[in-house]
Amino acid sequence: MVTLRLIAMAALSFLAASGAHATEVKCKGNEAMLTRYLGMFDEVFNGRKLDRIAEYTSEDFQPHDSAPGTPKGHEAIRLLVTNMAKSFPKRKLTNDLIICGGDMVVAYQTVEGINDGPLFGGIPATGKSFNFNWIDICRFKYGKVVERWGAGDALGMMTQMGFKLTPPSAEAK
Amino acid sequence: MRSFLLAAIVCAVAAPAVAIETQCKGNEKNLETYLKMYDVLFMKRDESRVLEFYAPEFVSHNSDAGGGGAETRTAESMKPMWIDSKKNQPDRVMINELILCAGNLVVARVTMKGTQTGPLFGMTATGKTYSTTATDIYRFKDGKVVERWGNSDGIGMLSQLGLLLPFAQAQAARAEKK
Repeated sequence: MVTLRLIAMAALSFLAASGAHATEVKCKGNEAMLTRYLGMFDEVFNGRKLDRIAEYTSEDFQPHDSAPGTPKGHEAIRLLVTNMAKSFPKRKLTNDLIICGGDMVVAYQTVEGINDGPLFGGIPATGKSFNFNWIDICRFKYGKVVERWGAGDALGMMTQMGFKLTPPSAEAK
Repeated sequence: MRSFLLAAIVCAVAAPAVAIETQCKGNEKNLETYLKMYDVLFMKRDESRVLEFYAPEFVSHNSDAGGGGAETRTAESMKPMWIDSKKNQPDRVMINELILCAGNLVVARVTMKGTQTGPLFGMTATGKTYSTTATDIYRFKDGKVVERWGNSDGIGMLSQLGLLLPFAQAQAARAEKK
């Protein structure tokens, strides 16, 4: 069963890596905003170019869904990008669906890769592969992202990496 | 007339809770369908009406109990999710925060609040409360869902309930292997 799942995952990774991936885009009339989102996606999220953060996000950028105490502004994105690069140096992000509406862009993405760097909280790398979904919501103003909601199936990812749930009592043993 | 209707719907939904941001101009019909589905299925969890909102067969990319991996599901197969939710977390509410429409798609970002008074992810009841976020995307055709995507902050929810992933165990197992 586990082997089957691994084969399926490998097949999925291959398909995504082969470049045969088609992104569905619903952005008619919002092409300028779409271009800005794709620029940020390529240069900042996938390219991890820290010196391009200011090009795509406002100085008062407001992140949502972040850990308490996360700073605002360019620093928020800089931390996110550098932390992801540490834990998942080779992870690949693919846009499956991009939707524009009003002043917002919503992107449904596939995140895949191998956990070959230490995880948050100093957990050593598991070396396991993962494939999970992510939804990014960005609000644009004057061509820059002013607000972002980002949420992924992190629980699914952790489960794929072999972590299991434990009730509090069992953990205390 | 249309905008008046829309205003009435938004006002009625927004009245008891926080303000909803809605970006659905020109897509009022899909917004209306989503809000009706939200009320009947997501809030009341009336699984007997599932065929009103889901096509007999649809594609699910969601990682919840409704299934995922771009697999085909039937409206019938969605029923247990709402039956379990109603049974195990009767006080669970869902609050719309952002609804965005484009073409035949509707995106909804919601907050879910409740008390874990029944089993969850195979864990027994903790009696603790939680407040977690979820984002869902629906593709509508002839007023019914034909495709769905989504995720929720499961880790955030489990942390609030004290059902943490055993990081310490993982570290110990790794140390043993060395």
